[in-house]
Amino acid sequence: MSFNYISRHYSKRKYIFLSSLAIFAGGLIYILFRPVEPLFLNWFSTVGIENWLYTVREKSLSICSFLPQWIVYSLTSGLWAFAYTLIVLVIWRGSRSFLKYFWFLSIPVLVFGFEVLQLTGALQGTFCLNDILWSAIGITFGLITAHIINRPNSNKISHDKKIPNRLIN
Amino acid sequence: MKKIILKKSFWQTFLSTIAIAIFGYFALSTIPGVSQQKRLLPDGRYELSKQYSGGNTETIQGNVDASGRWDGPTTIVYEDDNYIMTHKEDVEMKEGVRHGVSKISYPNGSVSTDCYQHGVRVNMENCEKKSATIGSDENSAYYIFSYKVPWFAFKLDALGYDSSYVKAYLDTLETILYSTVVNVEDFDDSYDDAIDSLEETAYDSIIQLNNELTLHNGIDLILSHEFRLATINSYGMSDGNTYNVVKSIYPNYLLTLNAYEVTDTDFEGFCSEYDGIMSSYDPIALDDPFFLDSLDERMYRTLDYIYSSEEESAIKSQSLKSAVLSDIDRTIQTFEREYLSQIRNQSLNKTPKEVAEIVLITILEKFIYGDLIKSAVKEAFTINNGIVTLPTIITKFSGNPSSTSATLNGNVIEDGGGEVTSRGIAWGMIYNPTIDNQILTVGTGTGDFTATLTELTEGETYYARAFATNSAGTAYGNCISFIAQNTTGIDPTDLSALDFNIYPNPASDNVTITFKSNDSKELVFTMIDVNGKVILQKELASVVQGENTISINLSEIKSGYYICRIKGDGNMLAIQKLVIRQKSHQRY
Repeated sequence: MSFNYISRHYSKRKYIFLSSLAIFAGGLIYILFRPVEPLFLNWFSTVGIENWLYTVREKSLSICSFLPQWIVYSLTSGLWAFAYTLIVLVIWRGSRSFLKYFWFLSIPVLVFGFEVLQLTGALQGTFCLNDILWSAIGITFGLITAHIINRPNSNKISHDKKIPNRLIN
Repeated sequence: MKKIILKKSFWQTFLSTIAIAIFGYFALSTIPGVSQQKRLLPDGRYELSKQYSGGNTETIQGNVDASGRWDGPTTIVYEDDNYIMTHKEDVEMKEGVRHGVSKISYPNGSVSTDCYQHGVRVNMENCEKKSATIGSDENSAYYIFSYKVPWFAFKLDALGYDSSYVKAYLDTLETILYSTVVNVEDFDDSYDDAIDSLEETAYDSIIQLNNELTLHNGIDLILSHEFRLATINSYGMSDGNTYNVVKSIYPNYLLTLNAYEVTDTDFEGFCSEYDGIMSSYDPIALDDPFFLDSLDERMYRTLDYIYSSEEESAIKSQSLKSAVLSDIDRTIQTFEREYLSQIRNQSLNKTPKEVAEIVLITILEKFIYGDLIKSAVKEAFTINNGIVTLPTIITKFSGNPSSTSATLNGNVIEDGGGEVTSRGIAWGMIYNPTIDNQILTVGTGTGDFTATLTELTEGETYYARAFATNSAGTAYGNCISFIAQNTTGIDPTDLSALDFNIYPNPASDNVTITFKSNDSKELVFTMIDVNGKVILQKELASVVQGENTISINLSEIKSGYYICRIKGDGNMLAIQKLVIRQKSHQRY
């Protein structure tokens, strides 16, 4: 097992962790602050914590009107875009297949495509420039984060942590 | 090698597809449908059909408000992709969202219910209790609050708490309360618990603000406390006997104290000590702009001094003070619950310290009524539980048709949930007269009424309150005072029409009055003290046309605050205030 393997392994974890964090935060906003019940709320009914959830929503939704609109309605677009960008980048990182360009291209197409479809009326929902702005910010942050994670020194293991000899070939 | 790359690409594509599915699911999870169509039905209602991506349809029928949002009873029919009804929902909508019980009927005859509050599904337990107790929006705490104390609602709005926020707060408060309160006796405890549960939520700031405003409202209410008024009245009098003032003008306060088992003798003993301490302070000039503030400060200091005079005091004076300044409402209620029973169980002969404690409590009790939000919530609760409360009534002085009569208006604003069987004016020469004093009844029910009191003694000061009686008891309006005198022929906007001046003012031994007269006629100069008693009456026989200057000797008149008036042909022509300062031979 090489040092490169460790580095790659750790950076993958970072990608997945950050991506999951973004999805979790976005999901939390949907659950706590969106008056319209998101589809995935049914999961909670399945596991039997429906009443508990409604009590939480009752309280959290009362705060909703005091939160800026961009947090409730636009930030999630940015979080989804950020998560999706990181996921696609980590899956296709280092790939030599031409397919990676297709998937890289899917990031802006998919993210902005939703809004375009809403603008044309093909998809139910509200077209909002703020959503586009936040999606763009999400993609940009995704790319910047990927760049930072992939920097040569970013995964350097501290000198005071000894690496077992068996891992260093 | 190529095979490995292909295999790797396959897995990468597979993972990417999963990622895109997850992303799409989250992004689309709040989008309700793919197409919708709205149309006006022949009966004036609207119908909205939504076609979902899976082929399911949702058809909503109901009325809409001015903003085009669903309003009132609404029916929602859900159909599958073969247009077969899966279930039907009957729900009350408000501002476009579900608000109330939602009844869902299935084709097999089964029915389930859900509950919503402003579009948010809440526990059915809360909903059932609230639905069972709350009849209509007119019985909601918010409605009562905005109807009864609109000025306070404006104040909150000006401080950044608009009506929708206050409504949401009161609705939330009610929802919590109705899920816990069983009877009125438990209301105060449950209200405190509900407030506790809302602290550190979005409503924390209004809770803190209301605590402060309660203090201010309570201070306003304290201004009309009988003991304070008696202190002001007695100050400046030669004998300065608070007990005599309370007995003559505020006898109902003695009844209040009697309810706390304070006898008149106990109170007299307390007043003797109180007056002694009050007179030990340097005198305050009656024309001092801070006269009342200074007197209030002295009153509280003296009460505090008497109250905390013994070391074994059960309640330290400091805690009383901090009660006013911090968590006022709860501390006073604790006071009421924990100490009043102790006080009542104490010896029948109350010491001045014990009386001071009770006087302080009767003053601090006013703070409870300063919490206008709590009052509205409590009133809504009693109405929704079918409990009859006292009517709400106000008193207004209309005028003096003659020198021995007075016209007063009353308005029974609310009947308290019970029929108002009697209403009218309670009046007398004491502050806060009750139906045990003289009354003039005027009909029944709610609304305005007018009563004319006759056979009054000219020049005397009277007090009057409108009253209304229902099955819960008798409620009184605000107490007003008036002097029996003929006010006809006076332009109330120009009481100095005679250019009536008094100087020096404040005066001590002599005063000069000046006024203009259109002709030579007989006028009468009268001085009345704060109790309405005529102190000096002098006929001005030598009045000439034009400027008149008359000197009046005040050496026999005690220092204090007086009303001076000039009357001619039985009509009052002009009024001026006069302050007589402490004289060299007078000591306080």
